[in-house]
Amino acid sequence: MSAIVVSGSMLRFGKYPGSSYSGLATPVVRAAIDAIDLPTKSIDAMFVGHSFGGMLVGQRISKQVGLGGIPIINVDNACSGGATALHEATKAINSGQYETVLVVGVEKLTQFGGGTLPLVQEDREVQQGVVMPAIYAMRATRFLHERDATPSDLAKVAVKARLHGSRNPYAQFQSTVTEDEVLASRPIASPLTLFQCCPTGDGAAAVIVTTEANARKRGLSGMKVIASQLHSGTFEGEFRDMLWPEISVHCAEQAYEQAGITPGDLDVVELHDAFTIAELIYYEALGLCERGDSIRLIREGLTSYSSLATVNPSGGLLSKGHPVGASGVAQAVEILWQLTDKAEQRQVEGARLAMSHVTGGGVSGYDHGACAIHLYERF
Amino acid sequence: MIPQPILDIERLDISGYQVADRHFVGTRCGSCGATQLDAIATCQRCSSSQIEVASFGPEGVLYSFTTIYASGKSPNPYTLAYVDLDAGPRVLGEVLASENGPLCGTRVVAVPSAEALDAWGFQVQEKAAAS
Repeated sequence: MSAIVVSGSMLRFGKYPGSSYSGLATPVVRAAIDAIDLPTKSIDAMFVGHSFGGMLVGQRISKQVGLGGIPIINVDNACSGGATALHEATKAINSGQYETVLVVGVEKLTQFGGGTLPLVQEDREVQQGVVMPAIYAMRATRFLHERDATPSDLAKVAVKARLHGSRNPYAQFQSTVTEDEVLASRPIASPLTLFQCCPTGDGAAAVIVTTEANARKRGLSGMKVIASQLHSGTFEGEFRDMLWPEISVHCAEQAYEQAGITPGDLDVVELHDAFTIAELIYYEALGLCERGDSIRLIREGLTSYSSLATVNPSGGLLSKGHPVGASGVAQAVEILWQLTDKAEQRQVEGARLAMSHVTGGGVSGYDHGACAIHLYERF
Repeated sequence: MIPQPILDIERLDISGYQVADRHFVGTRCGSCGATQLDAIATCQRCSSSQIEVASFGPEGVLYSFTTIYASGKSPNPYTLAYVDLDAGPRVLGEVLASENGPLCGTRVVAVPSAEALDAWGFQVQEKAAAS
């Protein structure tokens, strides 16, 4: 693996109904390029993750930044779109196909006017009234049934996310909340309340990835991609343990194996906390604790600038926001800042190894449709 | 031979709960026995294409549930549950209102219902009297 992320930029996630997809992405592309004085013509290809951007999102951006004439690959993979673009970019660098590539994640959810994400109506369960919060809510119901847990444990995840987000100028929500406020917010899908669900918003993020040789030649610091894994999960028509998402479990196992590190080595994790319950389930799936131990992590604050990896120092999807296809790239940007000591008041001191994890999409019979995990090392 | 499209939208309409017959129609792999509600072409467990139409239910065990207050589907709220049908697939269905609210692990039965979104729903079976 020789791919190095040498620059990154993102918008503060939020509601920008007046901006198009290229209006959202162009400023972050420009900022990522300008930050390292990169000649635009040295970018060999562009990978663009999105989920609801329609045809040729990347080309609509490229014409605003003078990036014509290069291969542009548009990637839709639900919540993993941006991370899948990064996965493809990393593969292309490692294989020697390109020397320097631009990766963009962009999404505009305000185009739907709010509410839950539109899902594909061809799916039986969608026709029956499933929405993304309902899938996570059923995990939460089962979690509360099987474990010695209460709704307060779920709320603690939101409290932590909002505390972290209050230190992040790029977060959609920058105010703290209390456990009581979380539990008293309006119901979305029981037992999940509004503050336990990631907000609707728009956003864009971009990173520049190059070869290790080129990074050294140009004297650029950043982070090395030491693992990049993409999974699609396994169909199951019968019983499925909703507290053990095999798609994330297997993806993480392969990432650790590829990088030759263990979960205990990580300093920073940005994981897919689209809803509070998700964070508790992913602590276990990603190996941050033993099965059954996730409640202890959140109750004792072990994942917030404590003894374990700090989870979602950016505020996570719950606080930073979750413009679906942008999130995977935004996670990489946050981790780049963490691993280059630029995260300011939310810096995890001395962070050296980090993970990003996104998973999502609702297809009946799957846990999720796509999961992408990256591991990074300070470079 | 020119490949022909699978008419899966029509097949989706015939699989699922059969209000007239009060059971579910789905498929079973003739090779390994894996079941699912959908009319799939190839078994994901063993790759056999020997897929047979099969009927299941109407009883099963409630795995999990949620009451949804925020979706485009009206009327809100409504309660959905995943139910593991006896010796059959996991199915999603509406939970009909009852005195005994839904609970993980309780037995339920699918019944026709004029009030339900899809004209049927799961009814929580009354707990057996303690003996």
